Amino acid sequence: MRGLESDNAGDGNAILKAAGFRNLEAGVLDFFRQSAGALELFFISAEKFRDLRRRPVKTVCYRQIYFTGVEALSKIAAIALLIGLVIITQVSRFAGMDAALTGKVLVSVVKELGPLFVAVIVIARSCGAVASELGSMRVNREIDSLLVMGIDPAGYLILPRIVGITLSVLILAFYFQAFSIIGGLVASSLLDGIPFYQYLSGIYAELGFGDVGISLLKGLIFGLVISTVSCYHGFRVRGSATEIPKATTAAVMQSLLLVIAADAVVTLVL
Amino acid sequence: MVRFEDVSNGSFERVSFRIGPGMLCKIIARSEPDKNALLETMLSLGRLDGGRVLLMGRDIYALGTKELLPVFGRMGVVLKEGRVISNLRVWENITLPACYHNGAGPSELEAKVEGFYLAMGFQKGRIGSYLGKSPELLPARERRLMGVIRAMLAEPDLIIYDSPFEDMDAETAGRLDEVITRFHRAGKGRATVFAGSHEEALGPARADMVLKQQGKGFAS
Repeated sequence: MRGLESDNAGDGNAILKAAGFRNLEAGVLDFFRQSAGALELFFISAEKFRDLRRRPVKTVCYRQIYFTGVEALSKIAAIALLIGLVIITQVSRFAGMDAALTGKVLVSVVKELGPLFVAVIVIARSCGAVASELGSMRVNREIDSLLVMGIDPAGYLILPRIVGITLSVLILAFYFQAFSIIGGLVASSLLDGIPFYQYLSGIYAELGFGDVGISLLKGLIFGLVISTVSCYHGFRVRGSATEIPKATTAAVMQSLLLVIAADAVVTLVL
Repeated sequence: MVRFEDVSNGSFERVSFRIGPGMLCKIIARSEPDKNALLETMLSLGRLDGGRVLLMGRDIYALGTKELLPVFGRMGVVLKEGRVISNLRVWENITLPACYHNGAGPSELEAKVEGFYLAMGFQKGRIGSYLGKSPELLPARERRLMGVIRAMLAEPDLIIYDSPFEDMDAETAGRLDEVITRFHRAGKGRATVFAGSHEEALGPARADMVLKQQGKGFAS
């Protein structure tokens, strides 16, 4: 009896393990399948680039820039100022009041983390919003209505969102870097008494065009990833409204994973 | 303009008819689901079990989305529930196809939109604020009116109305009938199709052809 119980327990564990493995396998396959789908949607939308000349498409693009870029500006500025302040305070604690070193640390941290922070904020604010907006349009058959009006949903709904979010991430990444440097400047001057010009010359010595280029490249890649993935998940909603929150969660999680993966790749390659 | 060749679908079988340029046609289905099935088949949104559906001479079920869009761009469709784009205001909804396809600017369209709403009995001073509303706050018949002016602004060659006079009082229905008839006559070779599940939903306009569902078929 005892042996039978342990045999059964062993079978149960094996079944659970097998089920867990199957879930993992299915999850990984799904992730790659969805990433391929998002890439396909990106190319379909890119083909419609000329549609950006149409007035209604431009309006959608401007609205996306306003929502993702302009409305997030104050939050990004506040977060960046605080990050700059925290970094300088921490650096001066272990390295003392060395303007060159603090500048060096700040630039490298900002260069690495700036686009990533911005991407995470944009994912939190816009990714779910875009996925749920497109998902509810799908459920309410508004996308069918667009087709019947002869309006290409890829050109009217997807393309301007991709362009709007990507431009916003690029600009926000630049803003983030500028504001975190200002935050560091304020902290180093007020808390550690490092003169402005000394701090700025430390940054100037460290910050090259290459660094700015890399962080902008990251911003571009992250923007494309976030916008395409959120549009893809919104667009593939089928059936009922209960599918919308699932699509929103999937869009957020997949964007996050792909952005971090892209960050790692760019950092390793460049 | 519209041609059904032996079209079969769950709701009807081997239906054939032809609506030529300049014609005004009424199609009366037995029930709402049958009418919806017919319209969905006509717009390639429903299933097709057999036969061919041709719009503007193109077999729409043989076309991909890319080729289908220019065909739909020459048409206007006014659905009964007045389907709207929920994230656009009334004005943006109305002008969307005209701006998208013809590049029409607001100044060009303003007078036409105002003219339509005046003809529908709206007070001049009220129209501006009305156009700034969210369409989801409007009753279905007002959303349908939005659909009518939206379709008309794009100057289509073919216009399809789904139960345009449903739930409308006699005065509004009379005004709408006048606007629709005037628009039909104004376009050279423009075809107009009314589809509904009962005659009252299709209004008083005199039709060149009336198709009535009989069993699984349609007869004139």
